[in-house]
Amino acid sequence: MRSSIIQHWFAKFVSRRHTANHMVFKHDSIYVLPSQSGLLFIGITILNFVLGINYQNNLILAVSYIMAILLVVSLLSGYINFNRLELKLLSVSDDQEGTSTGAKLELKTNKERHNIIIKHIDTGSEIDISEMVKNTIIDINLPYKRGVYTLDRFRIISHFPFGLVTVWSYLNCNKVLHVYPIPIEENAEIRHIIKGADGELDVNRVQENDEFNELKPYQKGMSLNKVSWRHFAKSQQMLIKDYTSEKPVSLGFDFDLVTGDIEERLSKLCFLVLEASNNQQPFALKLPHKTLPIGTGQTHQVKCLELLSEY
Amino acid sequence: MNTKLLLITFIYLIMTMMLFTELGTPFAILLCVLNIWHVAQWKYIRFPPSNLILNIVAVIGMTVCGLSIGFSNSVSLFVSLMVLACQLKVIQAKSDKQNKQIMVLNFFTIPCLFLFSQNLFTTLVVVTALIINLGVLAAISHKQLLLPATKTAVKNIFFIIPVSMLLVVFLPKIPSFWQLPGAQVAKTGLSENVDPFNISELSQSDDLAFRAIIEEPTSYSPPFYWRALIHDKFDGTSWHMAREQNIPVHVANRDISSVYKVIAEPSNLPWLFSLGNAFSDSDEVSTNQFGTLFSSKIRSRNFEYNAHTATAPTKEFLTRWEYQRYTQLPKKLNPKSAELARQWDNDAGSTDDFIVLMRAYFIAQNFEYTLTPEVIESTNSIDEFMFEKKSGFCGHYASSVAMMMRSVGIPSRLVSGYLGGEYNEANNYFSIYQYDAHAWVEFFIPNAGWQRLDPTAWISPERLIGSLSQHTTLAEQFKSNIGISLVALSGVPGMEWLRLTLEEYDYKWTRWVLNFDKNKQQSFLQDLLGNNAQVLSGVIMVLTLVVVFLVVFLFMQRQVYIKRPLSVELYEKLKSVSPYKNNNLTPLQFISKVKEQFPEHTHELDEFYSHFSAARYQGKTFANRQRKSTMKLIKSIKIKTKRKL
Repeated sequence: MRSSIIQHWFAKFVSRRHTANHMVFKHDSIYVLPSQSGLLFIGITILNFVLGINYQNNLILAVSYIMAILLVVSLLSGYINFNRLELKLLSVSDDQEGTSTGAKLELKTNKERHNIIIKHIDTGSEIDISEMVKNTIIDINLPYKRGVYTLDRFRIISHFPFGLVTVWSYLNCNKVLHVYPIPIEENAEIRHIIKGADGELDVNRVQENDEFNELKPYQKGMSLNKVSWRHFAKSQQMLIKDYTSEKPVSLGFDFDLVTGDIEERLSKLCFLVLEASNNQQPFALKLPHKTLPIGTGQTHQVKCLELLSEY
Repeated sequence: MNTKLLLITFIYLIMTMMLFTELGTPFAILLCVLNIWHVAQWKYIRFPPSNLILNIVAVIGMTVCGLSIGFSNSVSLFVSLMVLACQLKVIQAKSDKQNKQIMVLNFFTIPCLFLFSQNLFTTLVVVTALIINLGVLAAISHKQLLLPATKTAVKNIFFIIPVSMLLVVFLPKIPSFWQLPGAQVAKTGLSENVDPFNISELSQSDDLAFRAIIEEPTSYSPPFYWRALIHDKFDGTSWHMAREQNIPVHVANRDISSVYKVIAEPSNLPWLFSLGNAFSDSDEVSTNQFGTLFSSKIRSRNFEYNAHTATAPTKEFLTRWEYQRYTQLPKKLNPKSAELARQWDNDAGSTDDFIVLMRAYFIAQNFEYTLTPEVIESTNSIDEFMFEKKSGFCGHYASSVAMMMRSVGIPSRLVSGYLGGEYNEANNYFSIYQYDAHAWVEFFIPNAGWQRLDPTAWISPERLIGSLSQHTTLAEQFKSNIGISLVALSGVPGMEWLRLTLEEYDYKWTRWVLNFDKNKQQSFLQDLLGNNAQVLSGVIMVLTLVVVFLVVFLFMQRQVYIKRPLSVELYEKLKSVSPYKNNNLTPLQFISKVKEQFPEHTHELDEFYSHFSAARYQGKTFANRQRKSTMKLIKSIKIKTKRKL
């Protein structure tokens, strides 16, 4: 009971003091305590002291004094190793579940530092830097399930020197990370047409006509299928073949029309969204709580994926 | 399996070798086998063995320890089990966490060596082992390479050792609050029963027996006969220790004018060493009726005591039963010697004459002193020695003479102890080694008391001066007896010097580090601080520690502050005195803002900015003249800003 109160209080304290995307760890935000082996070490120091006293053995006594001072020196140098270390959250990378969802952090230092471990508390993923001499950028992979998460707490730990003390601090980030569903291929005829702004459209007309019109410069997000690779080979120029009659077909994906449980449906929708996006087809997305109007391009895709991860 | 752990295994092996005599051969073999197993496991199999195998080995190991060391010798048993457990854990350890636990536990296991020996060499071994251990701990705990980790460890330890020595000196000493069983050391000097005829080769050891500091050399002069044990019962072959040897008596006359100090080395016997009739005012030291000293407990560490020569009136006569005791002899043994003694007794008018005759016989018959006598197996061993072998060491002579004196009714007894000692001039002390062990005779003369008689001196007068190691005619025998050691190498140039130097350091170590006990601390602090020394020293210690740590902390902190370039410094200063100190502006924006505020300074500000950017972006230096003009600018802007507010 009491410990839970203390934990609660400490969690509040940490979120108050450590909430930022950039922190310089200083005396008011660094915590130092003996580690588990440090506690054993203290026990053995006491044991040696008792032994030294009872055998009136100055040398065993000296060993116990050496150990006590070693512990204090460890506390000090552990603290100094940590002091003025800066941790900055650079960005988060949204992605599909199981791929490179994660965060990019920057550790800034003005001197040599040892044994810095960055641990993300929610996912338990860990980065271990045994020695750093200059500012370092770290990609930390956060293996979340599909969903939307605030990054929350990173714990930065060091056991330097000798592993007898634990020096630690927190970075409490408010940044939001979207983890998209894993796409599952869906071939069934569920491409439902939503009666939207574009009016009625015929799905079957897609790619009927391939009358070549012109070459347009490639833009990010366009389908690689339409790149004129011949031009690319000649001139290293990415050009897109544009066909006259290819009127983009608008599609609509409806959550209720996909089969499977919730995760499965979301995964299938994700596949469809990616597919449509790749094919440059405008599409709309309908989830029970929210509908995204028809759109196209990179931002629309991201919006749809975020919507899928939020559900 | 971690390669670094091989080092730890090696440390256990060295520990076992250093405790070879205490822990015995079976344990040493066991540990060697475990060592080889660990190396094999590491080299060929690469992962730890199963727990079942380890448990079986652990049970076998415990049985070996229990059987070979025995449960009575609890400290040795404990240490051996501890080393065994650590060694098995090293073999078994799977995770870094377990490895770390072993390293931390080693801080207990390794100093256990100090329970058995505290000399300089052991200390060096322990300190080295601890440093390696700490290095391995650091290397394992943050996946560092061993070498840099050990370097950090060395740096730390060498900073810490002086501080902890200060603590040992100044921190008030606490008396021991529990009685713990002492470690049994294997070193034995004297034997309680002297049986010279059974020995074919006097086993010689160059171990130190004790050291003596005679502060007033005038009151004591060589030869130094250090008495330790009295043997009063002869059974035909060996002389047995007197039963009253460990019964304390009260010494009435306490004239403590001439004192000498003895630092006894650890031994498994309680008998102490003194010159003549002695008593002691040190704690835990008692005197028996023979005037020899003994300690109330057996010590596994060096022990220093004071001794005084008693000036009690000499014993004028023996009681009847005492007389019987000191003339007791097994009947019908050694008839030829007894007959010879009877002849001398008839010729001699006094005991002194008797001795003169006896001495003449020994010299005339060309008796020889040797360290490698032949074993005498016959029941009339003294007869055989006196008439056939005619060569032996101190025990033979003392035993024969005492027997012959008893046979004619002169009360006599055998004394064993040490003779001589090696004098160290620089530090004014004597070192007495095990090979200086000696036996002689004491006989009683009414109204004069007990007198010393050393028959060995007749045969080998050289033996009386100095130590056996300085004995020239016996050099060869002595060296072959002692085996490989620095004493044996004394003929090699430089070796004698090396041995004596090491010996001197060891003396200082013993005297000032090992025997720095409560009394010494008190007197030392009293000299230094006057009354109230105990409390004062504690306070001083705490303050010193605080200061030391603060200094260390600031020293380590120091590298954090990076000196900023002069241009940045000046810019920051200018910014802090201007009205825009809290704005987030680029230098250019800032300068233009200030220019708007103070148009009269436009020129200076432009100049400053040009120098600033030259220094920052083109790598030019900020000259002193520019610094001065900037300071002026800062000053006037400061005043004007204040005025505006």
